[in-house]
Amino acid sequence: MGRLCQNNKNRRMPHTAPEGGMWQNIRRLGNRSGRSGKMWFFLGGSVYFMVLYTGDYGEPAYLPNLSAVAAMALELFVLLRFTVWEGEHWRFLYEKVKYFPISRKAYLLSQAALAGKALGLQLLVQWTVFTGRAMMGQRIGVGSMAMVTLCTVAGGIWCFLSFLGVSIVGERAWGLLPPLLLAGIGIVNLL
Amino acid sequence: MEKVKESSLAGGLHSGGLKVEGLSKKRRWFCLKDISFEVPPGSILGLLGRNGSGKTTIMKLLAGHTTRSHGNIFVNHVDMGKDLVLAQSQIGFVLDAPMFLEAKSLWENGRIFGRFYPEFTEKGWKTWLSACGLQKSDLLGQLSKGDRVKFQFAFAMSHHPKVLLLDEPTGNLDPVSRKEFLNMLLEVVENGQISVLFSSHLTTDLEQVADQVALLDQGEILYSSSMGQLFSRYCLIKGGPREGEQIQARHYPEIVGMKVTQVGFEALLDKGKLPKRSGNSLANATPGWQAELGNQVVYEETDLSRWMYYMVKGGGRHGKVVSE
Repeated sequence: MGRLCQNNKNRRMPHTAPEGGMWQNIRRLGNRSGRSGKMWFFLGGSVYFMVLYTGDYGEPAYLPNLSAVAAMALELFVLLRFTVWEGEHWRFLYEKVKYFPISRKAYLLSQAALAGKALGLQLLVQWTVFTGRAMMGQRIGVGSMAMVTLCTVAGGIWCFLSFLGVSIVGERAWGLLPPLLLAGIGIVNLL
Repeated sequence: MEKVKESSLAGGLHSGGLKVEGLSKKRRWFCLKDISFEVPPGSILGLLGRNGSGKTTIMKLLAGHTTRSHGNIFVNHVDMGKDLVLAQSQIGFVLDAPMFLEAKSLWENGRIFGRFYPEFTEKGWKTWLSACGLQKSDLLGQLSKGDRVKFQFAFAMSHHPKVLLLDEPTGNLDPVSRKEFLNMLLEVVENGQISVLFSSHLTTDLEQVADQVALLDQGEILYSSSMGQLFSRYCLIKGGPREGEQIQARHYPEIVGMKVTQVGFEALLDKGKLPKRSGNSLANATPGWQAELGNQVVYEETDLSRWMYYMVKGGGRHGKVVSE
């Protein structure tokens, strides 16, 4: 057993650089969405694209609301990567991360980066649709475009902050997430 | 109440290892008050206490999971308040908490979380899994409680910690595994110069491995010293029921706690509180009860279990025994 305790400096893992490799290691920590996840992502994106392209922009609340709900769904979809199903519980990885030498700030920022990326992707889809419609001569009013974008951003940010708050409070706060999301939809409607 | 203090605890020169100063944590239902101790490298501090006395809270605070209200924690000279990540990278732990990924294999768990430790190596991880008799392909969620302890211990040792936190690690181990675990622990502590904080209800385990002991009650350290000093300071006295009733009636301060039954009595004697002129020696001491009872009582060495019982039960009656 004595040999187990001997320090051997040559045994350090090549990828183990706690500071430099922290971001990379945090990204590896989360669950990766598999093929089915990517398929659902593509399918959802395609449906949203078509609805947005063929949507009735004359109805002021329809597409902004739909976009806000889509933003929340997308945010939840990517943020679920930071949770894990264990036995009979959904657990936040953040709860586990706190036991290990992982910068909490870096971990939460990595969540924010992923959520931001997802939101950015949705905005890209929206503005692709707006541009496409403009090129096809089906112009949309600036107010409608701004409203859709604003509601998307508000819904996405609200969903991210709700998830962040619940994950910081811990497992016992899971039940707060649905009411928070409903409240988010209500707030979006106030815009 | 006389204060007893050992130089190795709650003071002295800081020589690496684990040092805790004035640690406090306030919660609605529980309060941890002014906890201070030091565990030098190559030493094991046994943390004793009843259920709910604050042992696991201390472990979680030291693991960096929970934030403290007041106080300082130094892990191998690193102030946890200033550099939490660096401090945590030098801590290994065996805790009863779902901190690893239950759906992953032992090997994957090690690879995923080991990346955050500078000293972690796959080779070491493989060696320690094998040393603890674990299969690397086993899923963590399917392990028994005893094997979970071995898994956490193997993971902790594979990243060469300077401080090891063990929260009741032997409670779920069978006698053979327990013995093996304690032997392994003693060896790594000696060879790796690791500071170990070992909390347990199994006082026999602590008697085997601990160099120092701290008794926790209601969020406070009731007593702390080296094991040798504890056993030289306290002993048991026994006698008949009549003698027991006499001693009980007088409330002698040197009697920390006692139990009188129909067949006799047993009491814990604090030799440190014998009259000064006795030089803390039983042979020279002539306290009231001894003058009266003479040879009608017998003295025995105490064990940790009975010491803890009388300290917790009797310590409250006579006041708090703290470091000198």
